[in-house]
Amino acid sequence: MKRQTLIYIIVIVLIAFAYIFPLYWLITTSLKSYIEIYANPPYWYPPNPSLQYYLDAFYKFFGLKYLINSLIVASTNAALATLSSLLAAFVISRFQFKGKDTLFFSFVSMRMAPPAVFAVAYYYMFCVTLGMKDQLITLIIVYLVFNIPIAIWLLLSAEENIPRDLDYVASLEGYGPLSILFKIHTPIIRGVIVIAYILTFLFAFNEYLFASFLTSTEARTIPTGLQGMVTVAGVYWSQMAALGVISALPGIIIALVTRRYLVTGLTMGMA
Amino acid sequence: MAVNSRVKNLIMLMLLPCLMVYVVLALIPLGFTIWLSLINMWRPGETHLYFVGAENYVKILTDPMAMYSLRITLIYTVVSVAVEVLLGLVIGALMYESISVRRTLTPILVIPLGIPPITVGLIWRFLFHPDFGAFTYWLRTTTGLNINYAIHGDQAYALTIVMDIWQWTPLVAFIVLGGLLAIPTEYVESFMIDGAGFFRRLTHLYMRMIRSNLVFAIILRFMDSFKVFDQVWMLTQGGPGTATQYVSIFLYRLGLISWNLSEAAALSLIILLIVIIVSNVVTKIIKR
Repeated sequence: MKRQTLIYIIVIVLIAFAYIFPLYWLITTSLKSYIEIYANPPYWYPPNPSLQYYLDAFYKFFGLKYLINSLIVASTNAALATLSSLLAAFVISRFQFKGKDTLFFSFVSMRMAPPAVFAVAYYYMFCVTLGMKDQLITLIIVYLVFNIPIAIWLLLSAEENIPRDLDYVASLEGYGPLSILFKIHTPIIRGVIVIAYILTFLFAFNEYLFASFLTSTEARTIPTGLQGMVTVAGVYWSQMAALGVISALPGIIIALVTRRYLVTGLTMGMA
Repeated sequence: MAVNSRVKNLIMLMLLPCLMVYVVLALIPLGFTIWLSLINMWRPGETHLYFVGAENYVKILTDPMAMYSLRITLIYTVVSVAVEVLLGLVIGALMYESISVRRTLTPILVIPLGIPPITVGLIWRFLFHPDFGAFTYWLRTTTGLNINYAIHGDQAYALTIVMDIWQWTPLVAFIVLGGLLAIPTEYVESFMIDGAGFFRRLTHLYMRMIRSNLVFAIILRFMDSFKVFDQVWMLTQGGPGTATQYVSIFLYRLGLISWNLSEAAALSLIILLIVIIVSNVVTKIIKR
């Protein structure tokens, strides 16, 4: 065998191990009992695999409720972020007006600040002043702050690629701006719109910091529910691992399906 | 497109959702934070409020804990990003040179990018649990090293860096790969004919050709690692002691656990200023 091929194989095996084994360990932990988890030497596979801990995580530890909350928040927030970004991207791409670049930069810059920076302000605005603590709608609104920048990046570059002649022809046919956007542009860039929706969904689904102080019991999402189990986890490792697996599933599936676009989304289309 | 007054109103209406989000979630919180940073809101329910000028800023800038957390965050960021860029370069270059490596590794390397950071914290908790962690066991039986990140601060610190590297090296590798795929193939072919070895190609060809992508990757990772919160919060909550009390964690504790809102606000604005300066300087470098 060529030396080069050997090196390739070694690299692939090492990397595969580094990424598959941690996931494997999480999954097996969710299938072992408390005693099996603490066994020394450890079981490298679950001796008596059972889905009991998933049922526990779902019902005893409200995992199902958290999952539903997460899905509601992420799907609604992604829809709002994508739609409002589509409208703004269309205007920024197609009309000339003063302060256009500043406006775009302002929207995109919302993502730059570390989330902890606005934690206190959000807490006061939503929980103290508006009395919106522990409500899903609060998360749906707040998550727009990091999802609009991503959606607007993706959608603006898609809009810029649509030839302007098309608008001209459409306006001769009597189309107004709204029908140009929704009847002509939207079908052309629907792939990017779907990607924007999926990525914003992912980021909303995975968010922890804001949810940790904007919710307490009723509106808990999966990441906050998971962190909440730390206090009782001394006893319930299997159930916590089960909820961990559930929390990672949507992200892994989305990552595998979107691949290239996930990288585009994470780099905001700059690389 | 022609703009008459009817269309003008429509434009405003279409920009309104994003504008509202910008005002409500960025401008108002910013104003509120500036106001908080100038008053005496040092504990919750303070009713006798008055302006204290720059006092909160002075307090934060002379607070050893705040400066300590900024310093360890900076070291964390520099080390993570350096390793991520080095590994990302090698992996990205290997993926570029061999299609089979690219095909095999792509689906594996996108996985960590989709996992919630809080779950990454959980995964590493299970891998390095002092009693039942797989890696703890493996290290103990092969090297005799006893890992207990819940007691040893330096181990906890190293572990948080490993988590960052684990989750984000793939992103750097993909950025590198994207840059390399954009190089005209003639350049690479002439280099291949020269018979230059892999590391020579890496340093003399690839790194030069994708300089702007590399700079971009460094900035992106720098800004992101600087925010580190979720996975550390899951793993150590900033401990043991203050070993992993990164600046976001310190800020969170100061604001939402100690309720020292004014000093937290001052620190928030200092962090914001750092982020703005760094990103401006860096974008200038990129544009050059």
